[in-house]
Amino acid sequence: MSNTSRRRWPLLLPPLLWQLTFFLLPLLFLFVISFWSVVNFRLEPDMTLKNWDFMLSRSSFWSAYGHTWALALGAAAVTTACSFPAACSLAFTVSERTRKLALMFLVVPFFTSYLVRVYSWQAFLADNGIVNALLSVVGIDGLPMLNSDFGSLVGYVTLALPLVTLVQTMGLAQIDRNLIEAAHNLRAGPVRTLFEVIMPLAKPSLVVGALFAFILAFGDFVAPTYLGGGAPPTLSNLIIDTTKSGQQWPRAAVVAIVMILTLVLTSLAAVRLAYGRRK
Amino acid sequence: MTQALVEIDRVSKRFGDYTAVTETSFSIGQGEFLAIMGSSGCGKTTMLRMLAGLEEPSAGEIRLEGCSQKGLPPWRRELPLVWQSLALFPFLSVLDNVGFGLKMRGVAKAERDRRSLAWLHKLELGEFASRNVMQLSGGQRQRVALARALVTEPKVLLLDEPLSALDAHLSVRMQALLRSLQRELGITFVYVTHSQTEAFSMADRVVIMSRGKVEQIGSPQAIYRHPANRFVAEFIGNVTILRGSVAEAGDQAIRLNTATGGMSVSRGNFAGAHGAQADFYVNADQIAIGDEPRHENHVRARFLSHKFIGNMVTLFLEVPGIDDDLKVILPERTYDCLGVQPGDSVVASWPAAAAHFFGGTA
Amino acid sequence: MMSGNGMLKIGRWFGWAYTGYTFLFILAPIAASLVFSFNADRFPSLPLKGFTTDWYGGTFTDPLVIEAFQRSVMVSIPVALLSTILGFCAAYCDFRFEFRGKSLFGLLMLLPPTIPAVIMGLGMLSYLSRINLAGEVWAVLISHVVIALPFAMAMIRLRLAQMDAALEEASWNLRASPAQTLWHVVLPFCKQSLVAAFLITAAVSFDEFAVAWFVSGLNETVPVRVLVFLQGQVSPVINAIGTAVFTSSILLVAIGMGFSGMGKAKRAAADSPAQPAGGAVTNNGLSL
Repeated sequence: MSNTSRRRWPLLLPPLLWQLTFFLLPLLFLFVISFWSVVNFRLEPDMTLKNWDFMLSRSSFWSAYGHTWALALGAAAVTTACSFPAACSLAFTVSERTRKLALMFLVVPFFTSYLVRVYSWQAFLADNGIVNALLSVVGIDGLPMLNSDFGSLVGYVTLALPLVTLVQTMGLAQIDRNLIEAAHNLRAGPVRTLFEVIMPLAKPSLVVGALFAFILAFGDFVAPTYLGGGAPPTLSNLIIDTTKSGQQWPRAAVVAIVMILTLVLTSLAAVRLAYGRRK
Repeated sequence: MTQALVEIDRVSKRFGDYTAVTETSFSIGQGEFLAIMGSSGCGKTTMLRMLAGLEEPSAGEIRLEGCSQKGLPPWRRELPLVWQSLALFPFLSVLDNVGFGLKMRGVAKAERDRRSLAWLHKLELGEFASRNVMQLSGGQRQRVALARALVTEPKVLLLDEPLSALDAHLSVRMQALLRSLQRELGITFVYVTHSQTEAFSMADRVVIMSRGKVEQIGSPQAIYRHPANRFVAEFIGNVTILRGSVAEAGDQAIRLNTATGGMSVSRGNFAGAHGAQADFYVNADQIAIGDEPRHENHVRARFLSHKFIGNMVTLFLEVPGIDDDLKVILPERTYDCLGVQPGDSVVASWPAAAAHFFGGTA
Repeated sequence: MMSGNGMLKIGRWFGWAYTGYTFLFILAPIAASLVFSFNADRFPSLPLKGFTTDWYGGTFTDPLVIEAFQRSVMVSIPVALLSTILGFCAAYCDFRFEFRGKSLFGLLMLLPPTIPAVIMGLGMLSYLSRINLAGEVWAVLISHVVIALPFAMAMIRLRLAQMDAALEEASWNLRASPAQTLWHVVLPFCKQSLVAAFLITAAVSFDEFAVAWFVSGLNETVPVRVLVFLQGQVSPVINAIGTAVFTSSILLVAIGMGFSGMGKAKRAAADSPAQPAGGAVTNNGLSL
C-alpha cells in the first residue's frame, strides 16, 4: 500500500536515530580520533598517523595480539568441545520437558554478575584454594592454576559455555530424527552416525557457537586480568591501560579498530564455513 | 436483477510479474447472496481483499453505491470481512471482540455492550460474553466472528471461506444459519469459497473464476444445467464433453457426426455451418442405461467403475472412440434394479434435449 | 561382545553424567559465592570457619555501596523503559514494513552486544566526552540503552512472529486506523513480551560493568563498585553483593516467566474448551 511509507517513519525513526547517534557514531568517532593527537593530556583534532605508527611498530602490541588470538581460539575450541557431549545428551536423550528445564538453567548465569563468578573462581583456583584442597585429599600436590593461561581459559569457558551449549542444543534438536534412524537403518553405528550424519548437519550451530565463544573471549578483560594475572596482557588489557593511564585515547582507538577488524573478518570466515558450502 | 450496490469495473491486480485478477467486471445487487467460487489461486480471495481495501486494484475501479473506493484505506470503508482464520483478538473477551468495531466508531461503552450483547444473544452466544475467545469451540468462534462483523449493521458482508475449517456436520448447520441471517437482515453477502456445495446451497448467484478471470456468472441452477464453457463444465463435473462435425441442422436439433456415430444435440442458438467442428456436453443425470437404446442418441459402452455420493451413483463408462469416460448419474434404487457389474457391456442413451452446445442458451 | 543397545545405554548414562558435571561447572561459582558470603573467614578457602552475616551488614551500611545501589536502580528503570519502547518500534518495523536497507537496519539494531564491551566503553567515553556527557549518569543510561535495545527487540520480534497477519487487517477492517490498531491490537498482543523485555533489559543494565566503568566517572553503579572491590584486595563483600544481586535478579526473572507462564496456561485451557458440545475445535481457528 502506498501509505505505508508515511506510516512507518514515526516508528522507524526513534530506534534508527538512537542507534545511529549513540552506537554507530561513537564507533566511527573511534576511527576519527585514532588520527588525533594528545597535547597536555587533552585530545586535539589532528590528522596524524603517529598513533598507528606507535602501536603497530611495537613488538609488545603484536605479542599481545598473538596472545589474545591464541587465547580466544583456545577458548572457542575448548568451549565447543566441552559443550558438545552435553548438547548431544540434551538434544537426543531427554524428553522435551527436561530439555526446556535444562535450557532454563543455562540461562541462569546470565543473571549473575560475571565479576562475582570470576571472583568465586579465584577461590577455587588459588594455590591454597578449593581445587587444590580436594586434590591434596587424593595425594596430588598443589598445582599452580591462578594467574596463568589456564586461569584465563576457565574464565572464558565460564563466560561462554552456557551460551554455546544453548546454541548447540537448539541446533542439534532441530535435526530430523528420521535421518538418524535412516543412518542406523543403513548400518551406521552410533559413532559413525555421529561423525557422518549428526556433525555435518550440526555444523552451522557448532561454528556459530564457536564464533560466539571466540568473540566473547577476544573482548573480555576480566578473566585475563583476575584469573590470568594480566601478564602478558591481552588487547583488552592494552586498551584499558592505554586509556586509564596517560589519557592516550587515540592509541587505544588504534587497538580497538584492529580488534573490530579482526572480529569482522573472523565472523565472515566463520559464516562462510558454517553456511557457505551448502550450495 | 436488483439495483447494483457494488460495481466491479474492469479491475485488475498484479503482484510483480504475477497477475492475480485480469480486467474483471461484474456487479452485486442489493440484498443478494453472491458466491465467488474457484480453485485456489484463481483470484477469488484477491477480489475479496480488494473489496475490503486490503489490496488496491492495479487498474480499474470498485464502486460502492456509486462512490468510487479508489485510494480509500481499509479503515475508512464499511465492508466488514469474516476471515478464514477468523482473526479474533485473542487478548479480548467475546464481548469486547464483538464491540471492537463500535469502539472504533466512538460508540460509548454502555451502548456498545448493549448492542454487542444483543448480537451475541441472537447467535446464541449470550452466556459466553465474558469468556476469552480462546476458550470457545470452533463453531462458537465462527459465530463470534460473524457477530463482530454484523454488529455495525453494514450493507455488505464479505466472507472468506469461513466454513472451510469446520467439520461437515457443523458446516451444514452454519450454512443454514448464514442463509437465514442473510434473508432476515436483507443485506448483501459476498461469499468466497472453493466448495461447490457451499456456493450452490446458499448463493442466489455464483461467480466462477479461474486464473484471474470470470468464467461464468449465473444462478446455481443455470450454471449446473448450462455451463458456459469447457472449464466450467469440467469444474462442476456433472457432464461429459463430446465433439463432432455438423452434418444436418434442424429446427429443434442439430445432427453431428462423432467418433461413435451420429448424435442429435439441442439447437439452442447454435449457428455453426455445415461441416463445422463443435463441442457439446451431455448431462450425466439424463442418460439412461440398459440393454437396449431408449433414446435417439445411443452408444455401446463398457461399465468401468462407480462411486456413491449420498443416494446417487455415478457410473463411469468406457466408450470406444472417446477419450473421456462417459459419466452417468443414477438414483441408487435405479442402479440396484439394473443389476450391472463393472466389466459388463451396456447401452447408454439420451434424448437430444439432454445434449447442448456451450453458450448455446440465452 | 557388547550389544549395540547396551553401548547406547552406557553412552546415554555417560552423557547424562557429563551434562551433570557441566551444570556443576556452571553453577559452582554461583553456589560458592553464596556459601562464602556467610563464611566467617575473610579468605575464601576450605574448611569453612563458621556462619556469619557480618559481610552483609558491612556491605549494606557502606555509603558507597548504598549509593551505587540507588544509582543502579535509577539507571536501570529508565534504561528498561526506553529500550523496551525503542525495541518495540524496531521489532514492529521489521515485522510490518518492507523498505530499502532493511537488513542494514536490522544489523544496526542487533549488533551492539557483539562489540566487545571495552571497545564500546572507549567509543562511548571519547564520543560522550565530546558532547560533555561523559562522567554523568546520563552517559551510563545512554550506553545501556544501546546495549539493551537489541535484547528487547529480539524478544518482541519473536512474539510478533506468532501474530496472525489477519489480526491487524481485521482491526483495520473494523475501522481502526493504523495508530489505533497499534494501540488496541498489536500492543495488547505483545503485552507479555513487553513485560519480559522490560525485566530483561533492566537486568542487563543492572549487570553491565565494563561500559559503565568507562563512562560513569565518579557515578559508580553496583557492578562498577564490585569491579573496584575486585581491583583491591580479597573482599568477601563481593560475595555478599553478588548473592544479593543474584537473588533479586532471579526473582525478577521468575516474575517475568510467571507472566509468560500465565499466558501459556491460558492457551492450554483454550486447547481443551469448556464447551465441547459446539463441535470440533479447529486448529485453523486461532491457534496463537
